Amino acid sequence: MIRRILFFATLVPHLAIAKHPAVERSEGFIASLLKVKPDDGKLSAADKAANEKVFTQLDGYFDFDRLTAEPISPRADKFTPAEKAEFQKKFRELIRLVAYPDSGGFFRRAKYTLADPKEEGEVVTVQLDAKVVKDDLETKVDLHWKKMGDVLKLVDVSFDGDSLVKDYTNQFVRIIDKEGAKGLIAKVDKRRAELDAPKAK
Amino acid sequence: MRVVAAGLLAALLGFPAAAEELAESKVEASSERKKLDADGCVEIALRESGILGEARGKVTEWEGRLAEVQSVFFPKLVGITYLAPLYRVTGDALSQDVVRDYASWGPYYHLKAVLAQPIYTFGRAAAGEKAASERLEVERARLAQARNVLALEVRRFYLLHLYAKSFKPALDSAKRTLDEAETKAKEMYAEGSGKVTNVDLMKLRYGSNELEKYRIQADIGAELALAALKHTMGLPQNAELDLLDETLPDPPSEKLPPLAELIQAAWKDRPEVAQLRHGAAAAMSFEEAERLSSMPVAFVAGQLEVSWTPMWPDLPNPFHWDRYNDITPGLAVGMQFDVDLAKSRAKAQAAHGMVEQVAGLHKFASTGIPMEVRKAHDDAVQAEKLLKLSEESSVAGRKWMIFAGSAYVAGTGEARDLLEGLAAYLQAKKGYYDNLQALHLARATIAYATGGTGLREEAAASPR
Repeated sequence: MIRRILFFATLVPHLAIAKHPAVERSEGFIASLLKVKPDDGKLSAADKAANEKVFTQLDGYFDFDRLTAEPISPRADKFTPAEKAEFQKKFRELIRLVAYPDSGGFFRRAKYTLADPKEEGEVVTVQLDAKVVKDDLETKVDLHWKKMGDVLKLVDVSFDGDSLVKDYTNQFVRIIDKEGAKGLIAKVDKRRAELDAPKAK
Repeated sequence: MRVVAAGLLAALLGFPAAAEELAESKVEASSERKKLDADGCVEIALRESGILGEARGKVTEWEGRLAEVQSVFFPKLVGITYLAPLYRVTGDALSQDVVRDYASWGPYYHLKAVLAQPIYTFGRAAAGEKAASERLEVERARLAQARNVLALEVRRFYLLHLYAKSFKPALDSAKRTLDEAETKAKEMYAEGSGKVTNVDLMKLRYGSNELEKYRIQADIGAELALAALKHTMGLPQNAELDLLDETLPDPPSEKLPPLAELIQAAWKDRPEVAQLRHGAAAAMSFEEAERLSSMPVAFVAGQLEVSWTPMWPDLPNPFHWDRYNDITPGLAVGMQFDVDLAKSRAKAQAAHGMVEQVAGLHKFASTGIPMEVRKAHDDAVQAEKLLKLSEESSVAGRKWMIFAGSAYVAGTGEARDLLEGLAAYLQAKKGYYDNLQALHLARATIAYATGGTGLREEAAASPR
């Protein structure tokens, strides 16, 4: 009997603090973002190498296949297989280069809380209530996770309830309808060139 | 340019990218001095304000006047007494050889006193007392009114100060973003890339200057409101004042009571209503007192007259008037009067004018007070509705920025959309704070309009 009580006594605290995997995954994701050093054009080689390591870590949080394919899916027939692969590769790289450093910056400035996850079909959503006091900005960010094999991966992000993937879909479809798949790839290239240009000191 | 370089998440969120600011969001430094919320400021003002000192002085003045009127019913003692030198006289009233010896002097003592107790004034004193006591109640109600006005003023300046402070972070952030956008745009213009025209540059300059104007207004406004708050609280300008709130508090969670309930509360608790009630009673009693001003005063009185000197002979014959050696006691019931009926009628007529004035004010208040309550109530309802819309606009502006940012960083959108989103967001944010301030002020005005200071203990006991 005493053993049973002791067993429950040791079990209860663990039960009380056990977190949903999606919450743990969200926390891990944010922690990794916080490790990214912002690229102000003055990063040392060591900083760049450290960033690259974190970038690889962060890649594991994203379902890039879906994130890069979904926005062009309504006009998938306008892409040749080579164009589709090219677009997905370039768009993924753009996300890495832009989102990783500056998202870390955002989380360093924000105070945030994570709500209990909500499950809808295969997708688990963790809502993040974030506030940046200095800028008087408050927003709700939904991280949508889906299990891929053994791990949860990010399949979409919503801001105040509106899906980012859905917005990209609409933007890209408009451009594809007007300028074709090549036009969309050209725009991504142009943006990448801007990012690669030397930063003003 | 932070906006231009913003990443998917950060730019989408509309935040200029990173500087290490976490420390700033940490818990504020502890201070031994107590931080004051609006109620705390009101409490100090109610203790320290000179305006209330003046109102209290008026109450004291009328307490004295009432005591003066009540003194009519207390006994009055009037008299005269003295000690004087007197030469010697020998002889008496019937002797022929009366001798005045101017070489010999001695004392002469005299006392004459009357103790009177008014016993009846035929209604005159009672009317005067009622008029004075009702007038005292008017002054007490004026003191309560002064407290309520003061509380509302304190809350007004408290909110004004926070309003200016609330808006500053958004302005600062937008200014930084625009300035960085301008720097980047100037570089691009200098490169001659054709992406930026002079019109684009001037738009950015114009926007940045407009923001700077708002920032200056917010800075000065916050300081001026704080100075006015100290003055209203009865504090010197160099007094340290730590406010609990850094920004406008969240909208009140308590539901707004129905208008009818508030109007009922106003008729019950409003000091102006008490002023009118007591003012009417005071005016009528004063008219009555003036009308009776020619009435006599009945009294019972006792008199004592004593004259004594060893220098003159005492004349025992009561038929002789012995002015230097005599004792005359007396007890009487009598009446004192000063009848001037025409003058009394005239004074009563003048006093009736006051009755009419108060009746006029009462009529005005009978519609004015409900109107005031209704205005405060409707202002609160309007501010609540507008606040909700402003909040939605604010979210829409934020999303505008976020998704314009997401398009920009993907290379599929324009920086212009992002800046337009920023402008819309700022406008919505200003609307939000305008209406939040209006809502808090309307709630404070409701407390005033229903006869309170809005302090927590009052709020707990009333529908406000």
